[in-house]
Amino acid sequence: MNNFWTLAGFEFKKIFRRKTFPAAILICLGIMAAAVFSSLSGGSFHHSVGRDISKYEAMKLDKEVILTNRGYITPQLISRAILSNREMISNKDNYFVNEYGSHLKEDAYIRYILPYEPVVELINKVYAEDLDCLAMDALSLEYMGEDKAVDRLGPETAEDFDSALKSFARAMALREEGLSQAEVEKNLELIDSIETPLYNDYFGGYEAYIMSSKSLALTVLFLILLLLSPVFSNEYEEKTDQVILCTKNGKGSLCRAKLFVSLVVSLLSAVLVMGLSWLALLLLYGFEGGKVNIQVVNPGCSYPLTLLEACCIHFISVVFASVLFGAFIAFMSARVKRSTAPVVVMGTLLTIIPMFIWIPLKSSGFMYELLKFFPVNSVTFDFDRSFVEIFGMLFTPYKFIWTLSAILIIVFSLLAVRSFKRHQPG
Amino acid sequence: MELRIDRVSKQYKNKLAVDRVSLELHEGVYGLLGENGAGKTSLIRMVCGVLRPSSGSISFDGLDVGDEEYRAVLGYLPQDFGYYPEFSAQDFMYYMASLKGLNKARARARTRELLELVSLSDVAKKKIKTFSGGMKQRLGIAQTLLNDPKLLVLDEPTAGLDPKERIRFRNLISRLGRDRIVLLSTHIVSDVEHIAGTILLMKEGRLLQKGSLEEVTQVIQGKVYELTACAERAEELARSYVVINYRSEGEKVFLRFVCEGQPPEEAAAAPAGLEDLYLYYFSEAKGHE
Repeated sequence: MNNFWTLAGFEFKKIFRRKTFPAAILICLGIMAAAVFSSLSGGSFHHSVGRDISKYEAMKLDKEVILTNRGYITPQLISRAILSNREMISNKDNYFVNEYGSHLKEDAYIRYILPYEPVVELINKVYAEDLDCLAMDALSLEYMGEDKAVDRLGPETAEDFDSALKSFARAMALREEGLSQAEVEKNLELIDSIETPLYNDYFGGYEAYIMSSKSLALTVLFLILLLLSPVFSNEYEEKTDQVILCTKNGKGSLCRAKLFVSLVVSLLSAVLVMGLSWLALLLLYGFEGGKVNIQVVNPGCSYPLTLLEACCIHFISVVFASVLFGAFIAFMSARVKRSTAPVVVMGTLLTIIPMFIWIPLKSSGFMYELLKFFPVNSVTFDFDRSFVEIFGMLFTPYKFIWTLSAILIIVFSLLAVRSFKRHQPG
Repeated sequence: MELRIDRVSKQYKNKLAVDRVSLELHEGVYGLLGENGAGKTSLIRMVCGVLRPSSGSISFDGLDVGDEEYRAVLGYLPQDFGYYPEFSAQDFMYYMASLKGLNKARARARTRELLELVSLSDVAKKKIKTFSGGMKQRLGIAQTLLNDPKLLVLDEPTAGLDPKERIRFRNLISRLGRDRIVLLSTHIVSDVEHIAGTILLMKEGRLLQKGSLEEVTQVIQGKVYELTACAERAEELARSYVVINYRSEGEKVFLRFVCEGQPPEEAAAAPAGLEDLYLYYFSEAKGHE
């Protein structure tokens, strides 16, 4: 192997001994801690209102109440949720009135709604009369209207809930603009495969991970940018290129070692930042919720997935995007003439600019899919209804992105090696 | 053992840095002399494979400059190169040893031996960022020898060294040249004069002369003169000839100069040296080629 492993060891040493390394790690840990604890301190926990307890204690009490109804969302559970809501709205003592109107008291909410909270929210979305009142927020679909379906429905509605859920998902797929006929059919096929009754559990840890996933993934990208920008260009900047390029292994093993280290650092950055944050959130909120169907959070989602599966898919997408970004940064680092600064600027622009570009699916399907390849978009928690169509075949977007990312990782790696081998000291 | 440089040229955007240089080098020390911008560093970088020639070819015993085997027999000390400031001298040597394909045991043995040779054993574990310029230069020399190179290319190897160290390294280079090709580029003419068996003179990208000290200085033998005159006369002569040495000696001035035509009456002929030749070729007042 021509000292490959020894050289890889030295490349790790170079990264770890750079002054930017401890700074980058500290910033990264700070963001991870902020993401974990802000989810708790910023959370709205019903037990925290008017009680002198910490947010953590309030979250635990909320969770305790929600867990009383964990399990499958059966017609019986739906009936109980509707009846509980009916009991609540029929008693005026559960409300207080001020100049802005009538408001539900927190204790009433905890007693009547919190035990059924995900079910009640699901009913409000599935039976919403105005679908325009539904808005996406990260993964979840939120009902923004004043009129709540649970207030007007009777317990007998529970019997046809599962078919209503699928009808709702179908309606959402059919009203999406910009989908081809084949894509619509694929969505309908996926919706048919959703297993009912849905499973519900407390999913605070998963929800917190989903909410903070984008900022965590951006942290990964910037960490990779800071650690890998100098991987090749530092040799040019420090004028060590002349000495290493004329050695036996300078144009062979060393290139491969640098690239290997770049890919490993990218992979570890993604796995550690995302994985440790996820673990910390689950430790904080509890490990429950993995079996919850994604439709409990977003009944419009076509994919038959649980929250654990959805989070795993997102995690893998972040890993692919990070390794691809690492390979690209390594290529840029090998490509520049002398300084590392252009690599940092280009990497930053590549990460930030696509955040401000949005092309609706109905305008251009191609551009819509293309934008997903920018790291910042491919790390977004997203299970939309579009598919990638190639030669008449439909590919699931995340699977397509993984495959193409793997190909692009190889391409950028080869280009990086070529650029370093062909580099001529200035 | 043969290094063959065949009609090698290097063209930058607007400048021809090396112009069809052809050379065949065998065991021995070769001193490459030339003013700044003469193309020495470009030629050396091409010999070391870090710069691609625009045309021509370079090979060592049939191995092309692009081959891994070529780089395996090469030792190169660039004129101005960086170190890894956070590495210790020992780490740097181990790193260079792995780049040169040495196994761990051999890397350790050679590192110990060479750090001893360049008097850096005591500071082997200190970070390079704490080293003086001379210490870094000694470390640079040590790394070139790790793989016991058959072709040793040294660009200004004695820059930054004190006179005692310079002489020590001069002698070391001379010894190394017994069984390998040593190509030495320097501005210090006396270094070349003392150790180079063959002198290569470059100007404006072209090779002007190649030969032993006696051969290359033949051009100006009988053209070097010395005299001692009053300051006024010395100034007058300095304006007319290429002055090699101007030294005040009380009221008088000692002059050594090159004169191609009829010398002044009071001047006495002196044997020509390499410094005389260098100034003869590279003096701004003259355009000898």
